[in-house]
Amino acid sequence: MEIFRQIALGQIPRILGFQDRNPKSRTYGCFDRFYWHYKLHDMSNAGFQEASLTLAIIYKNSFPENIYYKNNKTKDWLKAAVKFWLKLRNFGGSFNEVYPYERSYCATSFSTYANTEAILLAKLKLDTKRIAKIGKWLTNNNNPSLSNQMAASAIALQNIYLITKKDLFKEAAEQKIKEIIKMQDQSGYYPEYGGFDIGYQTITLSCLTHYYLKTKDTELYKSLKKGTKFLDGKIKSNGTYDNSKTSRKTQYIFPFGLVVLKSPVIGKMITGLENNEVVNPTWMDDRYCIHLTTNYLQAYLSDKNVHESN
Amino acid sequence: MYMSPIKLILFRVYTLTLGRFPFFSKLLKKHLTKQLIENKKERYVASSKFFELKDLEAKLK
Repeated sequence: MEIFRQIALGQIPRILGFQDRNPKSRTYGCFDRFYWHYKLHDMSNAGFQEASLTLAIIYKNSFPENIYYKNNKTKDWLKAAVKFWLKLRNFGGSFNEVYPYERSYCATSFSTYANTEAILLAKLKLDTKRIAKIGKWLTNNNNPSLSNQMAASAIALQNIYLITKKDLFKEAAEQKIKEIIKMQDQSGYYPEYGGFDIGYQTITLSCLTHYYLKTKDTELYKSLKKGTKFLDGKIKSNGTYDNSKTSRKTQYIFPFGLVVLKSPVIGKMITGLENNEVVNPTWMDDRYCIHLTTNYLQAYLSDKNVHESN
Repeated sequence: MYMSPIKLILFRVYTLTLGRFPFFSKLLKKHLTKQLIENKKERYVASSKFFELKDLEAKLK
């Protein structure tokens, strides 16, 4: 699993460079350089603020070559990132990714998961009322065509419950999990526009695994096992796969869920990463390298923690 | 369909006026999803089309 650590750590200076790190700036904490630095965009994409979780992970976890561990600057930048994310919230509790007043289910689900996870991990003290409003929006909205977004909203709601202690968010998360399990195909895939997609399957598995680790939901565990098994035989020995028949043509693998669920796919993926044959954060654009880097760190740490506790 | 300055202005006028109301925002999202994803032979996916080694060997369609 060392390869996940090496690749992810190599991306941290790049990701920190996305952030406005000037405390006197109006956009302090913003990770969207097109907005705060180039000034080419008229709004900041909330998706970039998922980097809060990357910062929280490197700030809170001691591991080889992690120079950011317990570094005060890292903590300041983390707080600024979460605060800027909260500033981007629409009146009703949603967030925008592409255009003003978009109310994006995707950006709201994923950025809320990342930022609430960062809040919990770094034990940040923030206004819980504002976070509850996001929870209410997620409770009242769905996107059943896309399992990965439903899974992200479920773990986001679970985190909001842990922050606000309001049962309604726990119940909303449980409801979404039930819907996802119901949507799962007999063969094990979680549908994306009616079909299977390997990259999104691994994102869904990662989100659901985070939820499982927090709740120990036994029904979900069975679903996760089925979802992991679905990938067996579809991944080549170097971790790549044929995406010509998949519903969304993604090319990557998010490893966290597969590491926790002990999928044989991880061994193949490591071989491919060691030979630099697999799409990984270093090959991706600024927007998506954040998401995958965070997942690599989570994959590395979950494996490290298992070994340390044995 | 590519974005152009005129299209962008019209798009922004819509999002900043009618788009403020959830009904019209949802309507726009539904339209865009249909146009860019559901009705397309090759669906738009933001996190796709990264370089892969097999691209070096693949014949252009």
